[in-house]
Amino acid sequence: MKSDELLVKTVSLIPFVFLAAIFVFLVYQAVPSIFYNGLRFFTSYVWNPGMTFEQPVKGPFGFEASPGATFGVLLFLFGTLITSALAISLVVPVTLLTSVALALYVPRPMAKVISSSLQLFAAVPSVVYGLWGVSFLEPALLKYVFPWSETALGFIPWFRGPATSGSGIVASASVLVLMVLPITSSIVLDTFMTYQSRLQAPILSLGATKAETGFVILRLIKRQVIGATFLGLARALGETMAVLMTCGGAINSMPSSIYSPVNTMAAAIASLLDSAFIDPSGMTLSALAEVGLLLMVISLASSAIGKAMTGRVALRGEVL
Amino acid sequence: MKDRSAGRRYLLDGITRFAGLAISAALLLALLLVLGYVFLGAGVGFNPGMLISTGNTTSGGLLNAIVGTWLLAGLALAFSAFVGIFVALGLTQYGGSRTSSLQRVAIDALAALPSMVLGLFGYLVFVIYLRMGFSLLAGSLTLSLMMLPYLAKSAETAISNVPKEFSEAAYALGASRWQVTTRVLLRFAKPLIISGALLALSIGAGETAQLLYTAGWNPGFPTWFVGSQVGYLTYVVWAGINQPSEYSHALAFAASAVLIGTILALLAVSKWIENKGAKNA
Repeated sequence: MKSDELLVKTVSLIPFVFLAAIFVFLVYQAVPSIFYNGLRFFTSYVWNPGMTFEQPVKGPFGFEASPGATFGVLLFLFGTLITSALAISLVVPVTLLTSVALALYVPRPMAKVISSSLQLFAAVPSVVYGLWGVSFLEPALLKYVFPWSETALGFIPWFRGPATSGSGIVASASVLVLMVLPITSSIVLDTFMTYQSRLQAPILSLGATKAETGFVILRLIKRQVIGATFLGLARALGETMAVLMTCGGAINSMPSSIYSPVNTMAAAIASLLDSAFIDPSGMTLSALAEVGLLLMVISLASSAIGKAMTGRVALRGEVL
Repeated sequence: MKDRSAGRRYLLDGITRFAGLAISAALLLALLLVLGYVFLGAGVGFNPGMLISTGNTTSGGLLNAIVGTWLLAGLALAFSAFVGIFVALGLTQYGGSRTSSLQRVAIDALAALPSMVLGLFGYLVFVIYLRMGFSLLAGSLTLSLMMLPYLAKSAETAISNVPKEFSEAAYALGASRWQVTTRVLLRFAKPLIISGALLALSIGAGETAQLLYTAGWNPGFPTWFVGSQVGYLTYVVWAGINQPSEYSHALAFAASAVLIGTILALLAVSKWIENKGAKNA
């Protein structure tokens, strides 16, 4: 092998090495927690580092933790899934409707301007969405939206009040909608327009309305739409700052209504890593590594499905 | 087509049209609402002194955070551009098909990792095991993991966009693969690589979660790559809005506005270079 080839091949192994290192380090770090907490990790929502000022005691399998320590991921897992699911269930219809409208009912130059403006949602840093969520969205939700939903929808158990704060599931899901939208809409609109250029004239000539043309094309690109949804879901699952700032930071209490504070896996790692510094047994850090490992597996699975169906990758809202 | 009366079909068409246009308009409004709210909020408590003095999220200014953001993102860009361009060369010029598919999987997976997972890894490995502490080096290495897939992908596209005739002509003149790569491919791919790098820089500048536990915070300037913490703009937003004082909020809004302004400027320059490159090609 010539020296230039050796150089290129060696350096280009780095991404793989790092990916492997991330996985190995998280597993290695999570091992004490996996044994100490066992299956209870997935069935318990209690997160308690124990009495960290006392001497660590030996737990199951001889792994040390502070007295009384118990770690469960259920609340964070539920929060991640519910906020992402709520966001995605709003994003999908919005994406489909805007794609059809921009492709069929708006002059092409204007559609280009609007779709690239919508891409600007991806340019706003996640922490700025958090700031907007905290200082604009949450007060607005508490003042205008929640009083209405409490009375109008209060007969549904999860909509019953009283809402005491704007932060929680609704606020987090709302900011996630804006952050996921650039991913799904750029893929769907792009694919839609590609099919449209070949199919619009033949379908219209059969006497279909524009909306019917749109539905036919959407049915043809179902695979890309579902794939784009999974890519968007992966983004929502892993989002940290915007959700951390708007979720209400629930701990040790499962949400009982859409107004309840909640917490997600990514937000929990961000907010609880400080508390790992003061746990001399290291079990808190290990448990957080297990949370990170779970988050990694879930979001990689979601984006792998999306990649398989669309052939694309989404990175912080930029679709490649 | 299902058998429906013409009236119903046109009604459905009208509803789709109205709903689609209304939602598109609502989204544009939401975008204006987010950007407008941040910029107006920044305008309220802003004073130009914030841009030229250092501060600690409760008092002073943003200069240390602005410098820190550029240092972190810039150094991360240097790391990821170096590796990313080599990865792109490995994929396009030096690739065996088996190593290539392995590299693609690794890059796609890195791109899909949540930033907090990367942040946790950076903390465990760079900060703790490699004893870098909260520092410029630990922060920028962690950031570069996120920026790397972007650079690798855009460099790959840029290199494969160079017409085949160019490299074939160089090979016909007796150039070696390395000469063709450096003097033909990279030279013609440069505009697109630079525009991809600017995009990656804008993404890095807006990142927070990876830096919370790798870069730390510094009310002044970092003194060296390791052993000295570094402040950054997104931290000011996150910490400032959580503090009760009016001035902290003003700093958080100002930092947000500076961030968005920087990112939009980087995106605009990136687009401009891309379009200019497309015109020249």
